[in-house]
Amino acid sequence: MEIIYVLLPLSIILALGALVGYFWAVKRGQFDDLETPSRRILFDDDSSSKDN
Amino acid sequence: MQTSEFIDSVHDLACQHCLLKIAPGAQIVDKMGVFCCSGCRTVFAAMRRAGLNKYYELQALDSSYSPTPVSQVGGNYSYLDDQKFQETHLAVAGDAKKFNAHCEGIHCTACIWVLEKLPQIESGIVEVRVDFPRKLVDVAFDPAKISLSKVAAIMDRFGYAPDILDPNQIQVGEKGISRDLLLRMGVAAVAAGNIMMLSVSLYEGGFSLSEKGIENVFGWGSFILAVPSVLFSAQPFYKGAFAAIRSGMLHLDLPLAVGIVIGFILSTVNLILGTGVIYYDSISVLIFLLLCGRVLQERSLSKIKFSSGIAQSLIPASAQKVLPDGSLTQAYVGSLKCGDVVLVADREVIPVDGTLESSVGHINLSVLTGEAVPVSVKIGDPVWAGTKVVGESIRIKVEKISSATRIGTLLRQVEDKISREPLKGLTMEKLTRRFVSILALASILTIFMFWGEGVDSILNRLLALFVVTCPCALGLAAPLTFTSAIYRASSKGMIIKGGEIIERITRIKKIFLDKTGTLTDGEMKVAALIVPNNNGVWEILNDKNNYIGLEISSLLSIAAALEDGSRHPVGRAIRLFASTVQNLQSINLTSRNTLQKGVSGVDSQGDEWCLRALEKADYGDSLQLNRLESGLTQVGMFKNNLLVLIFAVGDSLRSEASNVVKFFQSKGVELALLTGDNEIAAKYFGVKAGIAEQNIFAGESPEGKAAIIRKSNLDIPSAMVGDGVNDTAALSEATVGIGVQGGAEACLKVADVFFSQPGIRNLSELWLGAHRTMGVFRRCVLFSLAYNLLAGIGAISGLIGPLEAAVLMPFSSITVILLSTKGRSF
Repeated sequence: MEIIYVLLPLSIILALGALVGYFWAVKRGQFDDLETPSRRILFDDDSSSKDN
Repeated sequence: MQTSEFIDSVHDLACQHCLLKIAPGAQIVDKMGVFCCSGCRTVFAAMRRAGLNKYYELQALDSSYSPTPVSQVGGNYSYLDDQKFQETHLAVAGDAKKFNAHCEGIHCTACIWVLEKLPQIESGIVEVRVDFPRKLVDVAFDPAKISLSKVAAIMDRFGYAPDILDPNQIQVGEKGISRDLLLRMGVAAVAAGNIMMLSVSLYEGGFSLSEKGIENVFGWGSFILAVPSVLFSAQPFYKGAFAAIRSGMLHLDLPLAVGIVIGFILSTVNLILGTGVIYYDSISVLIFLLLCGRVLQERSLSKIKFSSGIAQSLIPASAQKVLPDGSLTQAYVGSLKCGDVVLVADREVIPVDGTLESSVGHINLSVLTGEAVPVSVKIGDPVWAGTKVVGESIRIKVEKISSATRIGTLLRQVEDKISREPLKGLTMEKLTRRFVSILALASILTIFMFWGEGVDSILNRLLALFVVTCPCALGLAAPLTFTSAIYRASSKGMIIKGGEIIERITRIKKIFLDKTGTLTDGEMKVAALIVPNNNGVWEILNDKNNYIGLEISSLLSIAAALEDGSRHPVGRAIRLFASTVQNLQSINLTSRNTLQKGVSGVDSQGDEWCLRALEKADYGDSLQLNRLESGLTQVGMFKNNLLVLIFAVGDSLRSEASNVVKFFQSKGVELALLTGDNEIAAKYFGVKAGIAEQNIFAGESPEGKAAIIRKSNLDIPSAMVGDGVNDTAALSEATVGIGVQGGAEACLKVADVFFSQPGIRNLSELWLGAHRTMGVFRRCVLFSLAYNLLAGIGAISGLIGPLEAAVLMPFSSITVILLSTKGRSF
């Protein structure tokens, strides 16, 4: 059962990693507008739009 | 004539640019195709020139597209280069400058494509980003290559007239879900997920509580995870609780905050002492679920977009200033001073309050009065910002600008009223107050009843009570029921600005309707032609075939020529009516004159023709005109001062109006008519729709309308339905203010509910939907209260321990989520 002492912090670190990624995405405004990107996929010569 | 034949063959055609079905006689035909308005034609030409034909392919792909004509094009933007304007409205981003603008013209996927394509067409534009749901654009441009006014003019040319926003005035919600809330929810999710994972092993009994070492790993692990959730994620609830304490009002955030804090402290005490149970799992799940509810709520609310900066949309931001030497310059209105003189041309909106400097002018006051017929003003008369010049351009001496103007003051009053009375949940509040007081009472009771059993037993019972009754169900029921109702209503064309409004709708007992544009369709039309019959008696021409005769058609040709270029709504109606008749001839008139109440001209045979409003003297008693419905304006056509034909011109009742009136009368809701128009017209349309005569109020000023609503509201909850700026004050006074499509933007801004489809057909649907939503809400609350009562009794009596409470809590929450989102509302 001692393995739990390694696995527990490991799982928490993993979750923290996901959280950091989420923070980064929110701060860059990726959740500000959830509708426009879904419409942008219709443009096939997509050179003017980068992810945001 | 060639054009009229063509017009007959294109009745079913749609506008080449916006796909709007075109009314006969209202279209513009040229070699590129058929257009509904000059705006659409201009934009179509611009798209073709720029090689953006793909726009129309993308437009066809967008199933949600509904025809939206280009409302404005060809605006003057030179005022944007004003130093003062740029200082406040532009942000610096490296070499480039950025601005945020609202473009009403954004309406489909193709619009995103065109706007984001602009940098490839004009090299000075660095980047354009569109926020589709909010109709906002973020534009970066290089000031060394292109001026701000040029950028705006380019956007305008494609039909996206930009309304550049002052960054300090962008409102909350205009930017979507707040990032802050999203971050808190993310932290709560990580905490809740991991704590649950740790706790499941405890529930499963994989590690018995006696295994002290292991238990402590799980316990302390949960503690570490719970700290950020309790300290960071739950902050909005603490703020709400503090605000509730300060204002002395019991708010649902209060028991939530108390439950979270007590649960956390007691769990920590238990953890340190190594006795009892810990509740980090229930607390963190509670916080997460509550935040999810808030995010869902904000998201559906932010989808409902309202116009930005009302004053901006009503009062132009620029004016043509007359310099002392007589020359003209385009100026930013904010830089005008009292005593400056501005020139306002035909069909332009007056940007300031002031006095007339020209000897005479004609002004359409509909923005203030709702009356579409222009009035004439003389030198020295006051003129108001927001009203529109008709005919010759006028000079105005500036007295007041922006928010100091009459319309600005009106709008400010409206805003004050909104901030003075923040939306509050009505039933929710009462319920919460009772809930919180009962909970407090129950806790005190528990302490007294089990005093003898020791602190440990009391604490455990209290904790179970708080966890089990934690008003999660209650806290989720309201936001979820109402937001899902609001979302469904918005897809049906009813935009409701808040959950509390739904509840207010169900209390309405009296509805005031505006006349023009609400009860009627707001368009002047020729309702009848009146001609003398063989016996010289004046009669309405009922049979359509009768007036297609050559004589009538040549009279109509002359009428059309007389009204050619007329700005007056009546003149326009006559011209449109004439253009639908076949065999229309093109007639050249000389010495055309605009009279006090009409127009005149001389034809090639030297006969003088005149079209003007009929006066009593024109027909005396001998003419039998009493059969004519009195809500119509009568315009006489005179040949050498002899009356030959009468046009009866008027607005017409919306087809659904009488059904809507009947519906509400059957539900016991009183209907009333409230209009700025004259009494004859008001009575005519009101009675025709089925509204009782004592409920018809005519000739009311905007302020008067508001006063009537305020007075009525004291007796019974009253709603107001309107479309004009002259209705804004009344809309905000009403228990529920309902704006109708086609209305001025300010009206939509203050309205509680806004119909995005024309007409009042949705009014009965709104009423039914609101009642159904309240039904769903009551079921949720009932369930939640019953659950809380049973579980609360169980907790106090000790039947339900804290652990069982922790399992029951999410179960009740999920039940409420299902009940509230699946229930039938709109």
